[in-house]
Amino acid sequence: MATPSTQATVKLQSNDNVVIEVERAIAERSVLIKNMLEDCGEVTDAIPISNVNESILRKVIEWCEHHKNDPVAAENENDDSRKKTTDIDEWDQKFMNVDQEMLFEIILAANFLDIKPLLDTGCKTVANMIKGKSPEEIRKLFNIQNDFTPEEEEQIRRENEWAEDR
Amino acid sequence: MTSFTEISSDIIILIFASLPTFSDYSNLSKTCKRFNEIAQESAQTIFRSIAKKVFLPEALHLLGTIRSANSAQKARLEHALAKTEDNYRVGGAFLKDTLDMREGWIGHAEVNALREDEKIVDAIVEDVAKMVKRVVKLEIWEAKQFMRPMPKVPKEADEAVRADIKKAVYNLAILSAQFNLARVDGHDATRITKELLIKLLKEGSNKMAWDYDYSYAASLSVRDLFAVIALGRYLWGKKWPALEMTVAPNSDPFATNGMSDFNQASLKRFAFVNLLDSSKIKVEGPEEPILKTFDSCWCDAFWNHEKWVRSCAEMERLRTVHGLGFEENYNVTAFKRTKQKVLDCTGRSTSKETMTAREGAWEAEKLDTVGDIALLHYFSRENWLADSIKLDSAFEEWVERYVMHHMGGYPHDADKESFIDQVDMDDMTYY
Repeated sequence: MATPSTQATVKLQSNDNVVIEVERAIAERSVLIKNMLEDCGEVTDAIPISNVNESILRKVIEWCEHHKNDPVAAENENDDSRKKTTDIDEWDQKFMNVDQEMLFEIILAANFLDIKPLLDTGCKTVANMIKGKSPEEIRKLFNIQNDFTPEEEEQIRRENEWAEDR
Repeated sequence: MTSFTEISSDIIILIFASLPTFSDYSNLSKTCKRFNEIAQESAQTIFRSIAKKVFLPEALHLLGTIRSANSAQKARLEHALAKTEDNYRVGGAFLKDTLDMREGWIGHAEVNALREDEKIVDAIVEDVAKMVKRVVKLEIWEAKQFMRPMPKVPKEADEAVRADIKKAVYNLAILSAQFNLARVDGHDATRITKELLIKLLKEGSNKMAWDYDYSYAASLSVRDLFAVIALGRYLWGKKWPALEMTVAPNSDPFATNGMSDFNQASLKRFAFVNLLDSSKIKVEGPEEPILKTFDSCWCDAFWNHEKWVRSCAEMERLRTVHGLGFEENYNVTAFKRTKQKVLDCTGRSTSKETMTAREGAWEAEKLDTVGDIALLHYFSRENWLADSIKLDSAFEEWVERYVMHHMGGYPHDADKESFIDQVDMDDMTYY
């Protein structure tokens, strides 16, 4: 491993070639960037974030800034200590109040950059949109094509009877 | 444009796992073939994640406990459950043979068993909540009669109280499943057939020697442990003793003679002797406030909830922050951890570390803990087995004893039948 760097900021380059300078501590909310910085030591060039465009990268940085003081979850955190509900805190709810395209782009970026809390928040947001809706309502909401034959649909309905809330 | 249908399967699995209910899982999987395939292929990951949101960790622990129980433990539980009223058969659903035996596995059968069990637990919570309301009424009535300040209590069991009751019901069921059959008529228990065991259980035979493994009790927090003890007070009158860890299947729960691990409310003793190490207290702090806190943990968990929660938190702080508890949460004078041969769920004899009571452990005067003082004090004022608040008709009898003893009789405008219902909850003042 390289000598630990003391640099205060790092540059991130989006896939549309925009360079954004951020505090290192904020950038390190991304496990991908954190590991990269630890491996490389001092990084003066902009780090290419090849899968993320400028608007999404700025959005992700905004989230990281807001959550920069959150405790980092332990690697082997016990599952039982996780939040048991689909509750999302108020700031995150507002943050995630975007159109569907941006929501899924944020989720993809969080997955690529390895920012687990942001990925969880994104998935919970989608889960909350699905909560309590019928299959047809979900299809309509996300523009999903129903590709089942009526026979398949009936079979799947029977297979899933156990799951209905009683 | 990025849409839901275009994102990778890994992320779709995460979204499935974030859903709050199994019904939502089903509805999403019914939308298209791809989602249905992902739902089927990753069902185990998704089910486990949803189960953690839908059920308490204790409910899942109970499922695991009963799934891994050996035939002797299952027979004991079946026997205990058969003696219990229908609506109190917690854990009964897990005893069905349809469960998958793989550790931690959550499939359709497990989800349905968990749901079935939860219905029973919820019914018990409702019963206990009704009792809490009656106790609150009684306290208010007493405060009015004697012009005492109104107790700071909720009108009835609120969500926080119900959550503690629910957790306690599951914990009590888990605690009831910690018996190991050690010997039968002096012989190795591994040789006994299930049929013979059931016959002996039905006869109430004293040929069976059961060891109780206190490991789970030792893992409970102060709050969880005292919540179970509080629950025991409400459930005693509902034939719950058959399920209580304090009662071995071949002992008489109402016997008052003889001292054994099981027939003399050992969970209370366990709490007393394991909480604080008095040798540390003598050196590190004044005894008086600690004992006061200890005593407060006994105030009724479910009707004077706020005070009780504070007391338990303070006790936990004393044990952990101040290091006044025992190493590994148990008192080596009273208990021992040993490897012993026990039957596993496949019927084979395997070596397992258990925590059992030392011989003579319950003779309190031989112990040197803060619990001794509280234990002796407790013995001096109460009968271990007569301190239960009973439900239904037994409750009225208890009220009468209470009123006669503490108030010298009923007021002119009340009698035994109408006494409790006369208390007007709307008059209650909050402090």
